[in-house]
Amino acid sequence: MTTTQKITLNPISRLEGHGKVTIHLDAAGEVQEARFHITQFRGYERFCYGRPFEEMPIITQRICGICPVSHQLASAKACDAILGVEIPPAAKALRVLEHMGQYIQSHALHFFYLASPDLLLGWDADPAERNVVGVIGKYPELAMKGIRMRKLGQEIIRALGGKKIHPAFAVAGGVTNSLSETDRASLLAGFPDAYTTCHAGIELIRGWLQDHWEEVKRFANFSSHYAGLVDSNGCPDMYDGKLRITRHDHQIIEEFDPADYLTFIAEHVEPWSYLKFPFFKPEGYPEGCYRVGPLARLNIADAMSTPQADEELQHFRKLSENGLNGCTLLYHYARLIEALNCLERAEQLLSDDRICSRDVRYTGQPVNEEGVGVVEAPRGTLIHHYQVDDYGAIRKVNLIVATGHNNIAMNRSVQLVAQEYIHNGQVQEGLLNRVEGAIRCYDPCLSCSTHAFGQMLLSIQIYGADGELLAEIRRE
Amino acid sequence: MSVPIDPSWDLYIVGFGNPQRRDDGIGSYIVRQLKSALTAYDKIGFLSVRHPEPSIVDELHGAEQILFVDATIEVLTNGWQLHRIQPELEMLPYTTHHFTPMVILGMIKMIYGQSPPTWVLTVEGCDFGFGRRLTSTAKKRARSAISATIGFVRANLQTPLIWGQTF
Repeated sequence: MTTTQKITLNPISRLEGHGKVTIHLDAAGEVQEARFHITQFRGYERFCYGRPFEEMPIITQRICGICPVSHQLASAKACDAILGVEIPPAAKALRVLEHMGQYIQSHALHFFYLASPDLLLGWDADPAERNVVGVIGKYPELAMKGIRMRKLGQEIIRALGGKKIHPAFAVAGGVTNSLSETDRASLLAGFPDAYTTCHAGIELIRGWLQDHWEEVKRFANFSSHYAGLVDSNGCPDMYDGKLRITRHDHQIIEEFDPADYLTFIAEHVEPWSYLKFPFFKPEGYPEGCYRVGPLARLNIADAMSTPQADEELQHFRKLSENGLNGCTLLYHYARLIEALNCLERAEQLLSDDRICSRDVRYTGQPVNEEGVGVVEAPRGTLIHHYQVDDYGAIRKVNLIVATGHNNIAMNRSVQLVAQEYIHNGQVQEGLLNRVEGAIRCYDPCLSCSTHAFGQMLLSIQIYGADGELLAEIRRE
Repeated sequence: MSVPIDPSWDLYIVGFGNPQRRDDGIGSYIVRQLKSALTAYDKIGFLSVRHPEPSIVDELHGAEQILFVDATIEVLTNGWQLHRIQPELEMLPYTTHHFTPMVILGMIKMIYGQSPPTWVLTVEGCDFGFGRRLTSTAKKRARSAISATIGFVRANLQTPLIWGQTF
């Protein structure tokens, strides 16, 4: 690559994990390439070698404090496959309920804590105020509702797994315990408020999109493929189903058993990031760029599985027709439609008496030497793939997490934003905020994808064509 | 504009820390002990969480007074300290993992328009490695702190103290 200028953004805020962006300029001072670097490594795939496979749901959920339930479920599904069992219906319902709880808490966290400061206070507001506390200061009722909506999701997880973070619940062959009638009644009481809050959020984002539509159309808007699990009716399925990949125009390219993912998905490695770059294998790298997560799940859907969310999908479709379904800022709207879908699904499950059944686990010995477990985590498709020896000890682990699937797309989004804000080597005000905002749309969990420690901090470095560092922008 | 308060607790006691990291579990240990010792008071709420997180604002908003309990690596005279804190919103951490009791108090003030008198009981820990038991030194300090705190709570619930008083 012949570039002469390079910009680095470091650290990025209001994401989970650490990141750095470098922007490489050509001789004319225009953006030639932008790279979103993930600079940490944890190595779960390696240190799980030799562990009994039954331990995997407990070990791998520690990858992340935001979506431990997704890791636990994908892992438990992979273990079910190794056991060769179909888990009891009540166990499946409870796992789905737990997952809905996680979606509710994770999507509420992202929208009300992380995304709403940009939306409510403005991209260019002082960073010292453009945060959840700033939102609380100006919109205390909305902030409190957001906190309570998240709490409902956390309470669902706690009622099933004993604690809100890293619950001990999904295991090989089912779940550890049933749901009590008391907890069931207590959880159901929290839904009316949560619906109100979710609709308030939807109203907020719809209004914001309308007010900023010209920017929305321009901001990191690009064509890509989309991927996610769907049920037999073509509705997004967060726990099970076929893995569907569609083109930008909604045309289905592939729909397959997720256990066959290696036929369709490969991973590319770049020397400048610990996060791999999964791509759609038949089209190669980077042409096989696909997106996952809320925007992708709505783009691949024939319909939503619940009435209120399906009605909202129709509005989303109208908004995103004529190719605008690639607008990255629509992730925020899609996320809330999913939250509504998950509230409805969780309420349906809790309203069914069978949810309190005590038949929740099968036990047995491993009969298969390989197992693949795939779920839709809040941020997108999550794949756990294990191989075991004759004694059930882990021989090989492959994890492809949601943030990884979006890696090519996040880099492309950053590049598009940088191209808008840098010309002739001059950086316009607001670059850092918008680059952060573009990445934040994907709600990346860098802790999961690279298995990194700690908080997300972003810096931007700008490098010239001769490799000289021209500028560094960082949040102090 | 702020959200109306519905006072339902005379005092809310919240312990922070991870009981699986030895002395980091001081907060939850003390909360358990105080809960046993203060059964005569039905308007005291108890809660143990891993770290200060925004969701506890919802639990605490109806409290007349709050007591946070946490372990510290700082060296303290007598091994523990009880001090009054004020709402803080200037130093916001990057993530919710790094919220402090002062920020939680600041959030309560912003949402509800006022924050209750609040204290933090900190107890010096020795070992924060893996393990479920407190070290004997930390336990001794915790017991001393519990004894003093029970007296403080009893006195305070009968006759509110002069705010700002420090043991």
